[in-house]
Amino acid sequence: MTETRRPRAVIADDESHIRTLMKTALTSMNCEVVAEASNGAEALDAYREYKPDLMLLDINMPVTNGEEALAGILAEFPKAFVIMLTSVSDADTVHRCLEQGAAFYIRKDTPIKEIKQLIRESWSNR
Amino acid sequence: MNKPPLPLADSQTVLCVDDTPANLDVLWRTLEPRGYRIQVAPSGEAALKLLENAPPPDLILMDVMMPGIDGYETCRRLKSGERTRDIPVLFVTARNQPEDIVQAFEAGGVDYIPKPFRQEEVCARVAAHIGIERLRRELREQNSALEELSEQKSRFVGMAAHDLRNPLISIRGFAELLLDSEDELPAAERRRLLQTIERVSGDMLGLINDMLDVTTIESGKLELSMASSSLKQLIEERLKIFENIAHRKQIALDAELGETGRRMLDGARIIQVFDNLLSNAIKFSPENTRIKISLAQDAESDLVTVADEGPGISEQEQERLFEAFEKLSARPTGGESSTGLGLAIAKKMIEGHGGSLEVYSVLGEGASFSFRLPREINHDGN
Repeated sequence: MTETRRPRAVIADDESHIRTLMKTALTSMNCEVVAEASNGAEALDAYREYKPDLMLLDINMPVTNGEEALAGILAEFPKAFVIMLTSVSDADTVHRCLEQGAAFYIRKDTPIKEIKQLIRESWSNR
Repeated sequence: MNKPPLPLADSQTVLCVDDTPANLDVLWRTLEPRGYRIQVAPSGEAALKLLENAPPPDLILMDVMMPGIDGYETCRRLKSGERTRDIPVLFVTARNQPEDIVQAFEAGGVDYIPKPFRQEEVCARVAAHIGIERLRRELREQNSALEELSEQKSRFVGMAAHDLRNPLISIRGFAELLLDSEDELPAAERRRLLQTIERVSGDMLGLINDMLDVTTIESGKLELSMASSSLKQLIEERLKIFENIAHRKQIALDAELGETGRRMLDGARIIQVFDNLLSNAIKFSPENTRIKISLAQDAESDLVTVADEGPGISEQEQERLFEAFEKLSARPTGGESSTGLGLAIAKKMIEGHGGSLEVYSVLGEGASFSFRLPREINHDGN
């Protein structure tokens, strides 16, 4: 990412170790992780508060899931750049999220190097 | 002989279908004295009508030649009905040409009794076919129970695999980050990643241990090593260990431990249960709250209670609370992990002691978990 300002990111996942992992990956790409959320409702709140350049949004989360959070975010911020984090079992939901307007999706079991590459590519194609 | 048969609990019902009253009478006199309950229908149509609503009989004796639809057709219709297809149908008929017999079997009959018949033969065949059908029913029931069990196992394996997968993703990811970063990562950051690997792999180990416990319990191989112990002493020791963890979340542990004397129990298993209840209470309690731990005794049993001031558990969720892999809507307040197996295991451990584990909670008003251990234990080891 080559912008002069570091892109600001929010990570939403209910598992803290996954957040730590994604945070470390994003930080190493010169992103600034400004907030973390552990459920869909927190994700929407964090988006409203920080209006980040980039959000990593897990699908399978408690309270409200990632799909619902995505709908809420896009309703208020149609240009939001949201990448869904998924497991293998979320195929249908992933499809719906992309139709709704998610920028991209990344399977969590993708090696970090590839995750970084995918984020870079979808960021430059945004 | 014409008085209505007593509805004995274990008596079997035979439906006799025949248009000749004299034939029905013979069958009645043959079977009724041997304890069968007899129903009669004077035609195929009448039999079908009767069976629309009545509970299905255990067996049907069917004449072939009747006005209206004949016995073969009646049988075919019964065999195509969901409720009636499993009732064994025996044809009783004077038509005894080989092609008649073949037709009887083709229509779905299980047997063929030529008229005139000997009473003993009718009784023997009726008893044999009722026995076969009962065994078939038992097999069907066992089969569907096994199918259900197998589905449960698949779900269990699926959920376990899912819960083991994400921690592994993290561990591999952290290893990759550490390998790639060479010395770019600050030491503090490296340390944090290594600590996360340690914590996450510890959680995985915990989950695998829990799964092994569940497997042991389900295969009926949970063996308790009972020994004389003091519940009070045991709880006091655990409280010392949990004091620090609770303190970190500003949670006060209030213990009211009555003197209950020594009793037989499996110390390691009771500790496991107590630890589970107390660590759950700490996990789901907000900071600056209290957890009450009490030990009391009544005439028959010792009662241990752990009551927190956390979010409580709704009635609907209480029903699922003790099932494997049920994680409810309340989340750990300090980022702790949970496998969703602890309470399912705890319940089995307590039941192995002949006791019971119960929850009392109103949503928003904390949760109280109690286990009761009878002082006289008739445990069967599982």
